[in-house]
Amino acid sequence: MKTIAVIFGSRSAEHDISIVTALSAIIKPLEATKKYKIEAVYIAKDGSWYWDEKLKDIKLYQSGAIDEFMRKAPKVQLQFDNGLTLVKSSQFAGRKAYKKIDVVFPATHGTHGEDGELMGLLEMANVPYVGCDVPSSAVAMDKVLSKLQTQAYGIVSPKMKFFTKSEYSENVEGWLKAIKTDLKMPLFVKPARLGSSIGITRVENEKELVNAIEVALHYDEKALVEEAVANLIEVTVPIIGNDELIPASVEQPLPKDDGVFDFETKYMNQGKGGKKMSGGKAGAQGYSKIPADISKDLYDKSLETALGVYKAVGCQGIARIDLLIDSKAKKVYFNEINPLPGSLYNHNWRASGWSNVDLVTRLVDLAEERWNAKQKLTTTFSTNFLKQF
Amino acid sequence: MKTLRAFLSYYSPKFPLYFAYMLQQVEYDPKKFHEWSGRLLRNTQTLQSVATRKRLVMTRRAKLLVLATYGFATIFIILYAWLVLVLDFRILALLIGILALPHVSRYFLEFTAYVAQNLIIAPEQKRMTEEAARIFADHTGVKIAVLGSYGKTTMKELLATILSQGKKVAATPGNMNVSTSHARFARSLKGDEDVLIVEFGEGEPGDIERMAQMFKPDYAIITGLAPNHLDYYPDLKAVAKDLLSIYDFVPADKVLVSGESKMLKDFLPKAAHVFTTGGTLGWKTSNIKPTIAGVTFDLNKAKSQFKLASGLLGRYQVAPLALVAALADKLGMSKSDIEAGMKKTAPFQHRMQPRLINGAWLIDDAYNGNLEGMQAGLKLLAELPAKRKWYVTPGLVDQGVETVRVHKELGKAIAESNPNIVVLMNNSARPIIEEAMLNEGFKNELRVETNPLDFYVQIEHLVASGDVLLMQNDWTDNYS
Ligand SMILES: Nc1ncnc2c1ncn2[C@@H]1O[C@H](COP(=O)(O)OP(=O)(O)OP(=O)(O)O)[C@@H](O)[C@H]1O
Ligand SMILES: [Mg+2]
Repeated sequence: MKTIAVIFGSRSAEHDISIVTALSAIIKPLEATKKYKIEAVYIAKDGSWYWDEKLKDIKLYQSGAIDEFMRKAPKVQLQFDNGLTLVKSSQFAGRKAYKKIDVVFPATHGTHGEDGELMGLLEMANVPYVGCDVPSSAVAMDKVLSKLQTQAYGIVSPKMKFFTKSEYSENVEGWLKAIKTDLKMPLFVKPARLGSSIGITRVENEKELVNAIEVALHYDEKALVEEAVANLIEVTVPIIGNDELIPASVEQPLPKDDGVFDFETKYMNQGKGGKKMSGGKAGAQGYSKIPADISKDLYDKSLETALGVYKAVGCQGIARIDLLIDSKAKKVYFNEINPLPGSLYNHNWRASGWSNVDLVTRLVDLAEERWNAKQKLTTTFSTNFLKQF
Repeated sequence: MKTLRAFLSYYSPKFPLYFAYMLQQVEYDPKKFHEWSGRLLRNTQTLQSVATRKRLVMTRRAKLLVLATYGFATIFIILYAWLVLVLDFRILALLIGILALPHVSRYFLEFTAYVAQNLIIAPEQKRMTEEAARIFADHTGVKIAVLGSYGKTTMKELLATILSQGKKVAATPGNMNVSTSHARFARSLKGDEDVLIVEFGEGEPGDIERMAQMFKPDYAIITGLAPNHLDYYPDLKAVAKDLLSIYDFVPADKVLVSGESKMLKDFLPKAAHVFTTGGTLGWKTSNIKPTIAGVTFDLNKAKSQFKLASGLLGRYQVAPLALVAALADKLGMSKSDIEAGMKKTAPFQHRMQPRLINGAWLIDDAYNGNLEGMQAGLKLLAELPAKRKWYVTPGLVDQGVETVRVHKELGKAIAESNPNIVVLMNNSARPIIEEAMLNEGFKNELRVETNPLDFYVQIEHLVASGDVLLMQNDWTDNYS
C-alpha cells in the first residue's frame, strides 16, 4: 500500500481554508479508495510542522484543541534520502518514528505553499507530488508574470501597466501620465501577488488612482493597473492533466451579495443538510452556475482560453483558471490562475461526472506519471573538473 | 485471540444493556432470544457486536428489564459472596461466581421474559383481541386486509393514499402487522371511517387465520410469496397455505392476488383474481414509462381511461398501482380523484427512494428483503439512463434452506442488470452471489467491502453527477 502525505495549513491568509481542503476534499476520498495509507502533515500558523493521525479530525481545529495538541506533540523532521521520510520522536525515550512517503499531496493555499515554495522542497527531496511545479506555481501566484507569460502565447488579458514600489516612487508623475495616455478608465489596481481581493480597488478617475496605487503598494512591492472589463461576466474553469488536459465545466460564480445561497447550500453535501465541510474559496464567491449561463460560442472560447493558459504557464496536475468576459464584445480575457483551487473545486468536478474519489485518484496517478517521466531525464554529468582543480 | 475477546466481552459492566437490546430486537420472545444468544456464543462473537447499527430504545419495558438484570446481578453477587464467605472456597469460588454472572443473568432474563409472556402478556392479549373483534364486527366501513411475504406496507400505503382522495380511510400504522397492533388500531377507530385497511403479518403458522377471524375483511389483497420467514415455517408451502387460508374468510372474487409473484402461482386456486403489470379487474395498462422520477402509465376499461403518474420507482409498481386504481373505481371514486390520489403516491423511507447526493441519484432500497423485490430493482437499474451504474447489497437474510438458491438467483439478476460497479459485503452470502455473477458472464468491476458502515459513509465521495447507485437490503444486526 502506498503512503501519501497530505500537507496543509501553513503561514497563509488561507490557512483555515487549506485545512478544509485537506481533510474533506483530499484525505477522506483518498482513504475511501482503500488503496493508500494517508499521513496528515499540518503546518501551523507559526510555520511548525506536525504529523499525526489526530490531525485528520476537523474537530481538533474547530474546538481549539489544536493548541493543546501543539504544546505536547513533537515537531516533524524531514529526511531527504532521495525521497522523503517523515521523522518524529516518539513517546519512548530516544526512539523515533519514521515514515517513507511515496507521494505528497500539497493542500496549502496562498503564501508559503501554493506559491511554489513547498514544491521546491519536494523537488529537492525527489518525491512525486500532486499539482503544479515550482515555476508554474510561482508564475501563477504573480498576476503580472502570469499575464506576461500568457501574452507570449497570444492569450489576451486586460491592458496593463506594472511597477515596483521604487520604480513608482522615483517617477510618480511619469507613471500617472503613462497610465492616463495608454489605459482607459475605469481601471483596476492590484497588488501583484495577493489573493482574496485584498488591496484591490476599482478606480474611475485620477484622484482615486493615486490612492489606489498607494493601497496596492502597501500590500506588495509590486503592483499592476489594468483596464476594467466592461459588461462583465466572470467564469472559472477547473482543469486537470499533465500533457492531456481535461477541463471540468465552465462555472459562473455569482456575486457574493446574491443573497442567502452559498456553495454549501447549492453544491456541497446535497441531502446531508448543512454541515460546513467545504466551500470554494469561502467568502470570495456566492453560489454559482454549472455550467455557466453563456452562449455556446463564449463557452467554447472560455474553455479554449483556459486550456491555453494552463499550457502557457506550464501547469500540471490541477489548476483553476479565472476568466473575465465582456458579454457585449463577446471577448474572453484571462484574469488569474489558482494552482490549488479550494476543495479542489470538487463540486464542479462532481457536476462534471467525477466523484471525489475519481478526482484524487487521478491526481495521484498524474503525480506519479510526471515523476516517472522526470526520472528518465539525465541531470548529472561526470566531468574531470575536480581532478584538474 | 478472537475467542478470548468474545469471552471477555461478557464481563463489561454494561452486559445487561446488550441483553436487553437483544430481547428488544426479538420483540421479547424468549425462544428467539435463546437462539440468538446461543448463536453468538457458538460463533465466538463479542457481546458488543450485536449492536453495531442500532441502539437500545429505552422503553418502559426495556428499562424494567435492564433494572431487573442489574438488580438480579447485585442480589446474585451479595448472595454468592455470602455463600462463599460462609463456606470456605473463597477466591476460587468467588472467581467462578463472577465468571458465571453474565450467563446466569442471561438465563434470568430469558426466564423473566418467559414468565411475563405467559402470566401477563398472553391473557392481556386475549382480552384485547376479543374487544377488537367486536369493534371490527360492528364497523360499517369496507374492510381490506393486505397480506403477503413482501410489499404489504407499500400496498397498504398506496391504498390509503389513493382512497383518501375521496374517502375517509384508516390504516394500521407503519409496519405494525401483528394481532396486538390490530387491537390497538381497533381501539383508535372513530367509527365513521369509509375504509379500514389492515396489514396482516405472517409470523408463524396460523397467524393469518387468527387475524382474519378478528378483522373479518371484505376484501383481501395478497401481494406475493417468498421464502422470508422460513425460520418459523417448515417450508414455502406452509407459508402459502397460511396466506391462502384467507379464502376461508373472504369470497373468492374479492381476494385479489398478485400475478407477478412466480412462487405464488403454483399454489393459487384456478378461480383466483390476479393483478399484474398488464392490469386487473378488466382494466388494461399501456404506455408504461419508468424514470428516476417515478412511473407513468394509462389504464383502460371499455370507454374509461385513466392517465396515471406515480412517484414510485420501477415498472413493477404498475401492478399494485393499477390494482389500487381499479379498486378505487369499484368503491365508487371519481376519475379525477383517482388521478389526483395517484399523483400523491411517493416512495417510502428506504424503499426505492431516490435521493440526490453530490449530483448522483442514490436509490435507497435498504428495506428490500426478498429476491423478487431485488430482481425488480435490478431491472429498473438496467432500464434507467446513467453514465455509471452502481449496485450495492449485502445479500439477503433469513432465507433458511433457500439461502444458496436465492443468492444464486440474485447473482444472476445482477449479471443481467450489468451495472458498472457491484459492491458486495464480505459475508457468507458473498461467495455465492459472486460465483453466480461470474458464471453469468459479469465482467465489470466487483468490489468487496469488509465494513458496510464504512462504505455507506464514504458513498458521497464515490459518486458524481451522472451516477445512479442502487442500494438494496441492509444487513440487520442479529444476522451479522
Ligand atoms: N480587469 C478587470 N475588469 C473587471 N473586473 C475585474 C478586473 N480585475 C478584477 N476584477 C474584479 O475583481 C475581482 C478580484 O480580482 P482578482 O481575481 O484579480 O483578485 P484576487 O485577489 O484573486 O481576488 P479573488 O480571490 O476574490 O478572486 C474579480 O473577481 C473581478 O470581479
Ligand atoms: Mg480571483
